[in-house]
Amino acid sequence: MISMLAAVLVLAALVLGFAWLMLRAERLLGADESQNAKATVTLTNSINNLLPQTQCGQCGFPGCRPYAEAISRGENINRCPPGGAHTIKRIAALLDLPVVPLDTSHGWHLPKRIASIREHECIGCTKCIQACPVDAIVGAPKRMHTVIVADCTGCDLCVDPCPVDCIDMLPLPIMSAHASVTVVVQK
Amino acid sequence: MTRLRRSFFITKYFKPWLLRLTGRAGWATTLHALPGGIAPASHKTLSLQQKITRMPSGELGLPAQLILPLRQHLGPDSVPVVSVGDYVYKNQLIAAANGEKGVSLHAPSSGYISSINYALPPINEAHDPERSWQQALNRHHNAIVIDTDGKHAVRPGLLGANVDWRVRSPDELRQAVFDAGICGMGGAGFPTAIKLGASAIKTLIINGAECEPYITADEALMREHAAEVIEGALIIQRICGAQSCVIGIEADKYQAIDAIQGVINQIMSELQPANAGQAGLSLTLIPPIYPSGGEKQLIRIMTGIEVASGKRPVDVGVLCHSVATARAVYKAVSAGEPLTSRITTLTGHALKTAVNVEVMIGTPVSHLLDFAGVQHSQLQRLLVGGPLMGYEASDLDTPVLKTSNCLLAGSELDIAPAVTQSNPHRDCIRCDFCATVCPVKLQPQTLYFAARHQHHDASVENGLFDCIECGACAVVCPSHIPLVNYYREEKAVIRTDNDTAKQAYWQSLFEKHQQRLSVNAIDQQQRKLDKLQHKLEAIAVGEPLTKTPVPPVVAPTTSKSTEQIKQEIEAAVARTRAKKAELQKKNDATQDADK
Repeated sequence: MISMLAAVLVLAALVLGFAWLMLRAERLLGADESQNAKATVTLTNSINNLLPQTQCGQCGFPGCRPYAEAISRGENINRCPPGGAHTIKRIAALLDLPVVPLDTSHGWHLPKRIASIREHECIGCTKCIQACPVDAIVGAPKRMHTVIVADCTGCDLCVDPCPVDCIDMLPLPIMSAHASVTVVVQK
Repeated sequence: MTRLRRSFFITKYFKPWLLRLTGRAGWATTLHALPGGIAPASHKTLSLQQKITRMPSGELGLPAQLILPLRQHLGPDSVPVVSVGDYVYKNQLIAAANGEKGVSLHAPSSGYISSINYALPPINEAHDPERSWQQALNRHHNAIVIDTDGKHAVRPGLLGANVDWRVRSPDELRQAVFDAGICGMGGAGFPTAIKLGASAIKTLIINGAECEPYITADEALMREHAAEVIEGALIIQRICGAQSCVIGIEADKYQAIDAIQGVINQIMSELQPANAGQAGLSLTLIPPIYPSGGEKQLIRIMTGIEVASGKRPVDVGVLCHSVATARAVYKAVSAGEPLTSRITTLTGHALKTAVNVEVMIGTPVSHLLDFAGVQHSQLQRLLVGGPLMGYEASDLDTPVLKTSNCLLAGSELDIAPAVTQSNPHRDCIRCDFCATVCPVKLQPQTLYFAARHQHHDASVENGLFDCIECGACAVVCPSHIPLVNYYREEKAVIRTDNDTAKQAYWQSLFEKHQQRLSVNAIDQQQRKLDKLQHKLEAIAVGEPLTKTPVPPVVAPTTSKSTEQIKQEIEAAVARTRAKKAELQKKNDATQDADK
């Protein structure tokens, strides 16, 4: 009986002792404010690298980086429609969170498209230029504008401001090299 | 389907057995079965009735223009070294290789350069003419255009030194191959010099298995230039240091087999009997199954080695080159001739005469079609390449490239109409025929569903990137689903999705944009501040301040005194200062965060 009591007491003492040590250690060695901030920045960067960088703002934040910052503060990870399911999967893996389906109230995951201005209809109002988050539209007041295809992220943000609706979102011609072919066998 | 299966059985098992029984050449080594594969009607006799027509000759003249794209190979675009208006001789360098991994480009004929940034027409049909320039922009394939003068003149003294290759060092020979601008002529266009630089090669395989229907360019080449092919193979063997060199030919190419075997016998008889065993040159017949001519498939059939996913044949000590490449190497090394022409099959039931031609690289397709007598009423689709792996040439100015082995002017006898919105394919019934014919042992139907529903992760997990796009699955599909088309699209989508370079570029654009916006906002406050400062100075000097009158309808009730105006301005200065300071602080903070 006494030996059992001794064992319990010894163990309890050990537990308390280590708890005290750990508390001390945290106070002595634990991350201070600046280190915390640095860790957040690295986390934000790694989340940002997983986002598709379309800068479309469909998540409700003005660009991918702001959304990455919001995620690092605890925002939902399923608000990025252009990234779709596999982006959610990757962020979930990074943050050790459960995989959730895309929140379609922010939009659907659609194939990539790029903006194209019907140039003879453009009146040169520069509104789309101001809306473009990556400066992919060139033009001057009262002069025709055009989209730099290589820079366009397909964010859709220039379509609404256009007063004459001359901007189309076109499917990306990624299939340019090949077309479907079916051979007639054994004619 | 039963018909297909029966003929498949005959070609795969019965014919080889018969050939072995009748004592034809080959069968020196044990062959290994290829999983899957099909035996479509070959249609090869169509273009083998005549000998190869050379260009330029009586019937087939030089085209007025040669269009030479700067990228005909895998790797970076070549860099033009000529300018518009220059006169170039035949075989003169016009675009240098861009670094070690590039391929140089030479003038196939003499003439004046009329353009060095000719934008090739988009390969796919531009449905909306207004859009075509954008699609052209997406293909960053500029081309050099030569207006030929018909003289076909070679600059005097440009011919390479005629030293026997047997006494030249492998590095020297490899440099000669690099300078000649040779890339793999079977289809993928991988730069040959890079492949030849691989070390620890045991076996060299020369690919004469031209398995795709209709195409006979390699077969015609082997029939008529067998000696050059073998010589080229020996040069490649010397460069890479392989112990054995095996030429693999499909068993139904009788004349080609006889020609090649004749040359090999001659070489063997010339050797000293003691050395005959060491030459390591042999011919192997392989069963005529599609796609036995694929690089990894041929290696599998001939050596039994399965090249792992993501690995290249050189990793297992095997090097594979096509017979056309071997001949190009021979010409480059023995005569110093760069790669400026190739043998291409003109075939299809829409042509009056199907024939093999040795054409200048860069010849527009229309020139060749005119020569072969195209019947436009019967022409349904024009393909560059064979019926299974070719792509559609919507524009008749499309040039012949270093990799174009065939030009198929298909009537409805040859090719089924394209699957379009108005001519949709039927649904997958999960019959599994595609899985039985897949030579890479994939599950095409699973890949199809993944691609259709954009499940990119599932596509990759099911080995989409191991698909060689041979098209066997699409041929046997009872619902006529253009499966390869789905895979190509899915591959392209995944590549764009995972384009981290592009994403980083967009990110940098966005950051620059944000930076510019914040600098602009600060500047705006500064301008405001300057304006107010000027006003204060004016008051201090005692100048009367005139305010632009507000619209005349609202007449000012009381006029403000100078003192009042001064107070208002000072208040505004304070406000603007505060705003500017705030913006500046924010900007600094974001910059610090970026650092």
